[in-house]
Amino acid sequence: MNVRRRLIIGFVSVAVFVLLMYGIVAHRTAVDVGNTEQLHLLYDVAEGEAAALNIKSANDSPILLNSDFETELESMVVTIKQGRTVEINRVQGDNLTKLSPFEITAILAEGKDRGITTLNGEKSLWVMTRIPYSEQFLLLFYHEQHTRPGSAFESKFEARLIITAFIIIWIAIWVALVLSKRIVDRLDEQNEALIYQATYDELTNLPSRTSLFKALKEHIDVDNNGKSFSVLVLDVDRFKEVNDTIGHNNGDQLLKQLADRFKSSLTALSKIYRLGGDEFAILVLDQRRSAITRLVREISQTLSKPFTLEGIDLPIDVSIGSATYPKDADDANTLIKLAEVAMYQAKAQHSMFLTYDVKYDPYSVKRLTLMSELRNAMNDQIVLFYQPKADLAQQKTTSVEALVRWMHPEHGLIPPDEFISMAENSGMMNELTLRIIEIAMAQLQEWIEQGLSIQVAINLSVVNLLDESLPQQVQSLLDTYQVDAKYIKFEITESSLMSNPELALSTLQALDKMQVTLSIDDYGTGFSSLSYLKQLPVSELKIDRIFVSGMMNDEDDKVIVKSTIELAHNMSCSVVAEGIEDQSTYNYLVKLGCDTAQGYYLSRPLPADQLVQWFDCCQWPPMKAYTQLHA
Amino acid sequence: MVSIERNLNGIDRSIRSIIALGCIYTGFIDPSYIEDLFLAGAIGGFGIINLIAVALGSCPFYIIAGISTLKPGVAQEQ
Repeated sequence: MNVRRRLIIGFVSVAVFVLLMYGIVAHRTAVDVGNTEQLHLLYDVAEGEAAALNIKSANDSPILLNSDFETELESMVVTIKQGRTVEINRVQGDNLTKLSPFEITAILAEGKDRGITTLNGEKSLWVMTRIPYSEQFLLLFYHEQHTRPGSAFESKFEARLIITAFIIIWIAIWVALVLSKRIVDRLDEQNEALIYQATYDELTNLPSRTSLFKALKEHIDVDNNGKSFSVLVLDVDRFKEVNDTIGHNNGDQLLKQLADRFKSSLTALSKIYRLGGDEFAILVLDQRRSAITRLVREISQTLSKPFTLEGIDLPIDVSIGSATYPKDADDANTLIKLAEVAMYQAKAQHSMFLTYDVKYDPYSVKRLTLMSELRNAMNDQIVLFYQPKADLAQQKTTSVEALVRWMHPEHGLIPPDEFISMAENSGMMNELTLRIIEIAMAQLQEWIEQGLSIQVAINLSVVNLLDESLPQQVQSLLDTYQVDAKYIKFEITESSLMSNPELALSTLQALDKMQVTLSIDDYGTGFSSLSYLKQLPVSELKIDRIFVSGMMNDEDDKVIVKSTIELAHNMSCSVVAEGIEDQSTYNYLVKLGCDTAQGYYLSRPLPADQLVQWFDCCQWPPMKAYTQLHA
Repeated sequence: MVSIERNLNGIDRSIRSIIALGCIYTGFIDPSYIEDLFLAGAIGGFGIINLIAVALGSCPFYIIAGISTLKPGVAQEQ
């Protein structure tokens, strides 16, 4: 039963109860007053009758009620003797014949001259008056069933009581209705305020974590045909530092400004929430793969302009992690947690954005065990596989990309996804990279001796880029293995450059001085600016496979590949297209003027000995059959 | 003309009309039952107020209490 109904019922019940009590008391009072009046009237009648009796019998003989005695009332003449015994002399009226002197005595026992008694179940009023000049008394009885001289009073009173009672109840009902409405309205207002407080963040006016959970649960429950959506978690880098420097009030202002900028830059299919502190979340309902990339790009552009607080310009960076439903998780809590894991990973790697991958999860036991085994594995379990890159102009393979694998005695071949991030997080990345370069150089030395002229491309991670001793160590290895620097190429991903662009630039410049060739890997996914790109001493751009592998079915991807090729050529760089998986893509890339091709269509990564065989039989034209035979 | 929000449906108006006529009769035309001038006047007045409400289709107490016997959406401005 709702609040309003309860209030009304309660109010009216109290009113009815009060009226009932009051009504009963008032009615009893009215009846008493009525009786008193009636007794008074009756007494007057009795006195009159008694006087009339006296006139009729002037002598001392007992008075007899004769047939002249006219009254409608029942009456008797009694003689009260000594000791209060009563002698009935004469009676008129049927009912009284059954009364004994004893009963009369009882009636008269209180010494009053009037009263109310019950005779034969009927309420009777009685009065007694002395008959003048005699020892006798006239006793008059009046029964309820006759018309009463005082009833007019009672009935008036009763009518008034009833009507007033109805009016009061009617008023009570209306007062209850109005009061209850006011109370309920006030409660609703307060309720709404509380709900708003719970679901909205006061500082930024963005929906809060509670709202996000609610929205996620709604979308998960609905789940139309497994439509997927993504959750992005965004964290401001070094916010604590900023807060401590500019003060907490300004820190709050910063968050507010941040929230406002985000609000204006989001598309219709994404909604932003504040999780708390310096953490925000974005719910992206657009299922397209490119939607998140576009969104992150927009956020990056939004943040490119510094924030101004108290005259100070503050450049702000964020780390973003994303998780997708239902691929990564199918409940709200886990989705957010995984997006946070990806975000922390992005922070650790100094890259702006990362999608969740199970390898980032720091808590799996297998991961922790592998981490402890990795150091020892460096010497003999780390091997390199090589994937050929075909030079389309020269129509031959002149370079390969070195891809690291871990030949674990127990788990078998572990791909780089699983242990590279481990190495980065546990500070072993530099060691690992140097080991890779060493292995590559040793292999190069062997090939050169065999008469093969192949350039080996090695991947550098962000940790390597920020290591100022890297160029020196590379030089030392070049010297040790007597390998010409022109045979070494380093591939650096676009996103790893963005963590510390200046330091990255200086490392690359040092490497460039050593005549080592440099290449930008996964181009198109790193959100770098062209002005920065211009400064880099690179001679090659590798287009990320996400644009190449599906480009025959996606016009947007075709446009991106075409314009990247043109851009690279205009910057005097050559272009490698990664991720070629079929003939049609290959042919189209040739048409676009792409310089180098890499992908499963040509060959999967091969160990060193199989690579040599591949060179002998299958390098031109690209034959996938070979790899199928030897898969 | 001040616009009034209607809030009485057909049944409400019918019942009110009957009660109003009864009250006017008891209060003004034949007050013998009540035997009190003040009460008779009050009841008669109550009847007249209700007749006016029926004519306007709107009860002022309903407005204050925020209730309406008319189906939502049917409420009109007069």
